[in-house]
Amino acid sequence: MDKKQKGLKAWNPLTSLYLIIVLAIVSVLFDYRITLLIVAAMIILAAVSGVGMAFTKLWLKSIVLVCIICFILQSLFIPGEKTLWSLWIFTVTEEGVSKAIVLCSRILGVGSAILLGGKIIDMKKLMAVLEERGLSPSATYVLLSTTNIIPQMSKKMNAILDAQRSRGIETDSNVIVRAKAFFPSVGPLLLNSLVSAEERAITLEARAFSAPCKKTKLKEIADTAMDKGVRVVLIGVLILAIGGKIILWIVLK
Amino acid sequence: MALVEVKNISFSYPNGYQAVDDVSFSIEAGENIAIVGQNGAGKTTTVKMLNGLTKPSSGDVLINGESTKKYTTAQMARKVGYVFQNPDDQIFNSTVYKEIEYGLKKMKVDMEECDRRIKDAAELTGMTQYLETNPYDLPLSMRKFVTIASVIASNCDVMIFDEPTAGQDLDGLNLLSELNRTLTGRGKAIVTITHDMEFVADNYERIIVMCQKKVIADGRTEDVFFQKDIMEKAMLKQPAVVRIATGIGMTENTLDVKKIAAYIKSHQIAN
Repeated sequence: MDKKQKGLKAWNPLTSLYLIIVLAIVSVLFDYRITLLIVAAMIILAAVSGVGMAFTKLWLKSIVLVCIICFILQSLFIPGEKTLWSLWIFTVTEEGVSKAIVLCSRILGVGSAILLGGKIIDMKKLMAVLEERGLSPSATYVLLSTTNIIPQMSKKMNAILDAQRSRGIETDSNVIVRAKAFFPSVGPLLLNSLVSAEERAITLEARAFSAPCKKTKLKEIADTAMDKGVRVVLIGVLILAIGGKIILWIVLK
Repeated sequence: MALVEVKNISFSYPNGYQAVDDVSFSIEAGENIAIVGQNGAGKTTTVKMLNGLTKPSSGDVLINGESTKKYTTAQMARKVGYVFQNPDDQIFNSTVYKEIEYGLKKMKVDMEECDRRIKDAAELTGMTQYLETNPYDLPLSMRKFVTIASVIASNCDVMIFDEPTAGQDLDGLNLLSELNRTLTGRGKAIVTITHDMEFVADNYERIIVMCQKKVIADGRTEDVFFQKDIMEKAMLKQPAVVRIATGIGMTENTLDVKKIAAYIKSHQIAN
């Protein structure tokens, strides 16, 4: 455990990864009431880990927004026999609402778990642990650079948009104007990414990335007895949840 | 009325970090100005307020008497051109010709005028023979000239160059010097951000020194470079010509190598 960190952030990153996977799987196994309880637990866990505000803000802006849009679209366009409400071409049916609840609860559960993982797991530490456990350095590099590339691309995109605005391309207006700015914005982003990927590969090789020798480690990540215990408990919870779901399925059938 | 009037502008980011603090200056048509200062001094944020990329938190920027606050950056592009430090943030067309043409098409310049401007800009930037070349087949230093050509073709009154000398060899530096002379001769105002003091000493009539978000000196290049305290405060190195002139005890502020050589010769003869 890292004593400088709070809550889940102090755990071994592998333990946090187990927790995220278990939360995501359990949330899709049962109905929406269990999912809501799990999501509430995630918010509490985020708060305990010192990322409560950041997690909740991002959760509201992304997962909750996607869920609302999905719920509206699913409710309005899935046909059914029991009509709950109707206006012009729009009809909300009981079947549509039921399917919308199922879909949204799954998005809510899995999406929130991924978001929580992003906030509490230090990817560098996680990759170091996975590498220690036998994952190839090439695979950990690909995973790490994939997670790093998103904020980098976002920064790059802002610089590109500034450059394109400065040569007379409107980028902030209605959908048609934004569509026209798409190619001038995405073109340099892709070309830049290709060029930087090539350069990164060369610099990695220059630092003996694929040298056939034993690598030294910069970080020692503690794996305490508590971490190991938590992982065993989490595996137990997962087995129980899957078993419970199978039993429920057989009983209800 | 000056072409550009910067009136007491300040800028703070939403997180409260102040990047520019009460900066004022004006620029006349045909003037050639270098803005210098260490990293984080506020140079880029200041020039970004000239074309509306960043809107001042307080104060105002007037171009030909009109506030930049009224216009989007894309609208300002007709008046103020901006050459970014990294040319790859802009380039996406398959040929140099199309790349220069793109901005002109957006400004709805007619075909004939468009062709004339592209050829003129290409000639000034040494791109004539590369007009049908893919920009990504050119080295970075030449791609920079592609973006400079795009701005020249747009025929705006003010042109901002961000670190144009970075990565340039002697030919590139000479071409930049020639460009500065030609464009100011055409009445364009050139504003350059740079860390290359030797290039500034050779090519600029006026410099603005920024330090800790403020302007701490604004004047004739030779006068500012000879103020050792200002240069030290801004963490800038005086150009070699200034250090030599100071070292041999010249009292006149000059960046003219011939004058310094003549001074040395006359003193050798006298001694």
